[in-house]
This record gives sequence, structure tokens and C-alpha cells, in this order.
Amino acid sequence: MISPEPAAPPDPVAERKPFLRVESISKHFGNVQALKDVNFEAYLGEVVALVGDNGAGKSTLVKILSGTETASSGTIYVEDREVHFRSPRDANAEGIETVYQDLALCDNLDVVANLFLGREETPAPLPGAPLGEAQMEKRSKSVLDTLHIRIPSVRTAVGALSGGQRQSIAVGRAVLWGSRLVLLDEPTAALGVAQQREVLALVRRLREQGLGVVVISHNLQQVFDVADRLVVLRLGQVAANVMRSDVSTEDVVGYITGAQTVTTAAYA
Amino acid sequence: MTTTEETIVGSGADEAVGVFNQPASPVASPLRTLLDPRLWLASGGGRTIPLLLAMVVMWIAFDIDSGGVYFGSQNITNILVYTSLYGIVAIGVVIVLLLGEIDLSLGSLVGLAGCSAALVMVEWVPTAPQFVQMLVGVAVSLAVGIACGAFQGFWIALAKVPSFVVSLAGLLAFSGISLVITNSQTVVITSDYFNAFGSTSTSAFDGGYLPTLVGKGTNPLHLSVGMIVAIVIGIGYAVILLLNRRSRRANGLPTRGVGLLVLQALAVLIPSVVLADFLDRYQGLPLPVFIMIVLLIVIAYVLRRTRFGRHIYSTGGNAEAARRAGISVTRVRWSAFILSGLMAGIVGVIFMARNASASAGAVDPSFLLLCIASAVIGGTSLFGGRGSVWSALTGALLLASLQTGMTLLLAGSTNAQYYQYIVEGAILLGAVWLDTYSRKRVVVDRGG
Repeated sequence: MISPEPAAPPDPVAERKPFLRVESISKHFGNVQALKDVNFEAYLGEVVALVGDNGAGKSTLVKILSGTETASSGTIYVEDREVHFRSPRDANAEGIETVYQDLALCDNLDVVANLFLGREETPAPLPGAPLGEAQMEKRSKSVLDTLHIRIPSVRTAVGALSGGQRQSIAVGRAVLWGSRLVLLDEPTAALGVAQQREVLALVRRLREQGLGVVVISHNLQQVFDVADRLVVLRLGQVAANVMRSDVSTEDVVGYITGAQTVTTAAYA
Repeated sequence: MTTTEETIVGSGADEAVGVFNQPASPVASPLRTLLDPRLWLASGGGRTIPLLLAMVVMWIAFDIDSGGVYFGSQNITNILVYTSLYGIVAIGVVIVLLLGEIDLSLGSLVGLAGCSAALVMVEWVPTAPQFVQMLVGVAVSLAVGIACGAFQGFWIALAKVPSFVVSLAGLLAFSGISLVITNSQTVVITSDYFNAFGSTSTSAFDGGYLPTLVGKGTNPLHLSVGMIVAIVIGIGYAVILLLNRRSRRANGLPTRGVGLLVLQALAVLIPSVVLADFLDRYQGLPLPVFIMIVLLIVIAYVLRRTRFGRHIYSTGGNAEAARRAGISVTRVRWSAFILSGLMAGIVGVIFMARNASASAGAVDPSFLLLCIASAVIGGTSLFGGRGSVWSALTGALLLASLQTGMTLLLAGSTNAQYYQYIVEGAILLGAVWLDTYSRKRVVVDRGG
């Protein structure tokens, strides 16, 4: 079945300005073209899902957005300013935090230490000054409360927590750092059903609090459950950029496999 | 203040040195941890309790067998000096193990640093006053330790060569250099001040012991520098506990009762004072032991209380996560090897001062392995991220107690040393088994 191609594709969220916008991003690793002329935007207060088959370029795109990889060509704009992400630090400075699939937690450290990993607070700004443990613990508790994240104690080693709790801690860390856009890489991949639900609820809470969320997921059912908009990548290119309410699961499967196409090239 | 605020809310409310690397049951109270052997195993820090119990049993057995010689203040002094040799190198080992790395070169680095110091004193400044000689010797030993640590750290952290290989190369090369520069001869150290660091000086620094100020050491009513050190440690610990408590209260966090805090402080103060009194009955707190105590406190602070220390734990726990969090893993690794080299440099002084001479063969190849064993027996994981400098102390104390005891026990036997190796081997195996076992438990905990 071939869907009719609209002459002028409507911008899904025309009335708002995107927080993050990337224009004709390409990335190649040697001879392999991982991304080709990808346009992508993310809005505050919106959950956008990035879907696609294995090797479609989802992870590469997220790595570029998070500053771990640099694009071979193309431009990134944050609130209409051109930015250059040379390291995750640069992305963090623009309010973009990434929660990796492996969560990047230190199992041997407690929740507080993980939340403040690499950004530990010291009351006295001297080298070798003692850590402000009490202040950090207080801030940890308050951010976890805001997101309704329940754990036995913020002094529990993260290795002793459940998968859902660990995911929540990783998300909590992103929020703690004043993030405005959270990138979630397969947030539910390794979780049980109850824990998946817990994490999806957390994603909705992030949106309610006005944050932008980019979710990479294989699980289309969850994507439909939580996302406002879907961007489908296929063979390193954007195959579709559609509002969830406008499409069915079958459509999206079609976009992913290439059986169905839409032209949504908003910036083309 | 209300009683609710005084309630202990799980181990999470721990206000002491911090329990962040102890994945014990989240609801375990200190008392429960003490009573439940499974929790000893699950929490790395809890290893200390069964270890101390085992040590006490061993001490008593040795004491009975030696007819009271073992608990004599001279023997205790001896044990502690040996403890300082193993313990200080073991501090370096702990730092490196926390990163999940290993340093096999520390033993031969002790030899190289000590030989360099002795040679420079004898050949470059032979006519200088003994005190100046000592300063030069100490500076050389520390500098050699730091330089070699930095060199190895470069290959490990920047060139990304596995630390096992780099430090194995260091082990060989440093012994070789020591043999070459000394022509495989023994260099006699004549600076009495230098030898004081091994508590073997004839007069300098009161023979290498912290002096008694008022009265005689054998009199219960006396004052010595060692005693002052003990009191300062006890009071200092209490002050730290109080400051933590205040800062927690200021942030509206639950705190433990003052009573418990006083008990905690007394649990440190009383043993320190008793031990100081004991040592004063012989010649006082030995200088190398004092150095070890200072290093333990400083490194414990660095590891537990500073950003650098936190970065060491995180790099050892999950290097990739640390890197993504913006921690310079390379710098952390490099610094750790410089620190462990510094520890070897410090022991280079103490080791050679103890013999009042330096030679390439002075440091037995088994020395380093026993230092690594100290750290591991004390509870520092070989797999990185878990452990503390206190494990260096408990492990070294155990091995030194065992060594001294078996030497006393088997004084007539030619095989004394060999029996010792067998027992040490058994203890090491048991300790590592505990480490593996407690790791398994952590994984099981997560599933539940």
C-alpha cells in the first residue's frame, strides 16, 4: 500500500520553536555512511520517539546530539543558536543530558555519589576540599521526590537497586543537572513489565515538568504509549516524521521496513 | 531537638566516614551488621570485624605459646614496625586496586628508591652533616618513587598498556637498575637521622621513637608525644563526627544520637591511648609507625572525602561511566600510580633505614606480594571500586602479627619461614574467596 504524498508536508508542531534542531547531519565511519542528511528537531514539553531498525542510525544520531560523536557534516542549533558539541560537557552546558542504555552508573557508589558523579559539590572551592555530603544528599532527596522516584535510601549502593530504580536514578541525574532535553537510549530494554511501566510514567512526568524528551526504542507499543511524535530512521535517513495521533502501528512498521514512505522533509 | 530526629533511619543515615561503597542490606543497623555474619561478607567494610576477631584469637594463642613474650611491649613495637613496612606499600596497592589495576613493581621500587637514597648520601654528600644527609636521602627516595610511579603511570594511563605488563616490566627493570647502580654491593648508611626512620638510630630522634615528655614510659602517669598523637586522633575523630552531624542537621537530614557518637569516638580514643601507653613502656611510638598513621589518615581523607578520591572509586567501579561524567580517567589513573610510587619511595627510606644499609637484594620478592595480600585480606577488592586504606592496615597488621608470632614460636626451627609462607598462602586464599563470595551476593541482591 502506498500512501499519498502530500505536496507540502505540514510541520507537526508548527506553532512552537524547537529547543534543538539539527540540519542535514551526516556521519560516516570510513566507508560506512551511518547518517545521511538527517534533519531532526526536539521541543520542550514533548516526547519524541526515535525509531528504526538495527543499524538505521538511531544510536549514531543520539551520540551526535549528546556530544560523544561529532558529525561529519551538518549543523546543530539550540534555540536557534548554532552550537558545536565536541564533548558531552558541551551538550550538558546547553541543557542536554543523555541517559545511556547501560545507564553509566557506578554500581559500587551510592545513589548520591552517582547523581553527582563528576560534578561533586564542595562547600569550599579549594582543591582537596571536603565533599559537601550533606548538601548533596539533600539535593538528591529533593530531586528524587520531585520525580516520585522511590528508593530505600539515597545511601544505598546503586548495584543493590532494581533495574527500574537504576534507570530512574540515571534519569534523576539528568534532571538534577538542570537538563532541558533528556535523551533516553532504550530506557526499558532490560526491564521487567512493572519496571517498564514505572519508567514510562517517569518519562511522562518529565514532559509534564516541561522538559523535552527524546526516546530511542525498539518497542513500538511503548513508543505509542508515551511519545507525542515519531521520527523514523531508515538506512541513515529520516523515513518519517509524524505525530503519533496521525499514524497507526502498521504505518510505522511500514516506515521502518521501507514498505511505506511519507515525505515529511520539513527542511528539505 | 525531638526524639524523632534522633532515630537512626537505616544505614542510609550513616554520618560517619560514609558507607557509599558498602552494598549491604539497606535496612541493616550497625548492630545487625555486627550480629549477622552474612552481612559481614556482603559489606566490604564489615570484613574488618571477623578479621579482628581472628586476629585476637591468634594473638592470644601466640601469647600463651610464647609465655607472655608476644604481648610484651617490645614485641608489640616490633609488630607495628613491620606493619608499617607492609602497610604503607599496601596503601599504594589499595589506591591502585581501587582502580581495578595492579602494581607489581612496588617491591623493587622500594629497593631502587632506598638504594638511590643511600648512594647519593654516601657518594654525593658524604661530608655533609648527618641531618642534611638525611634530608637529601629522604628527598631522593621520594623523588625516585614519584618519578618511577609517574613513568609507569604514563604507560598505563596514556599509552594504555595493561598495568600488569607495565609494572611487571618495572619490577624487572627497577631491580636491574638497583643492581647496576650499587654494583650489587651493600651500601652502609651512616646518617643516624636517616636510620631513625627505621627506629634503628643510636641517638637521633630518640632512637627513632617519639619521645616521652613528662615522667617515665613505664609509669602509667606520663605524657609522651605518642600519647598526644593518640589523644589528638580520638578527639579529632569526635570533632569530625560532630561537624558531620551539624552539617546534616543544617540540611534537615536525619542524624544519629549524640550518645552513639560519643561511643564511636570512645571506640577510637580508648584503644589509641591504651596502645600508646603500651608502646611507651618500651621506647614509645616508633617513627615509621607514626608515618604510617599520618599517611593512613591523609589518604583515607583523600579517598573518602575529596573529589579526587570519589573519582578513583568511580573509575574503578565503571570507568566508562566516569569518563562520560566528565572525569578525566587518564589523569585519575596517572595520579594513582604517582601516589603508589610515592608510597614505595617512603618505604624505601624506612626499609633501608631499618637495616642501616641498602642493597638491591634487601627487599625480598615476596615483600610486594605480601603487601598486595595485606590489601586484599583487609577487604579491598581485586576487581576495583571496593575497599579502603583501612584494609591496608588490618591486612598488614594480620601478616605482621603472624610473622612475628611464627618467628617466636618456631625460633629453633630452620623451617620457620617456610611454614609462614604456607599459612600466609592459606589466609590469602580464604580472603579472596570471601571477596568473590561477597561479589556474588551483591548480584543476587539486585535481582531481589
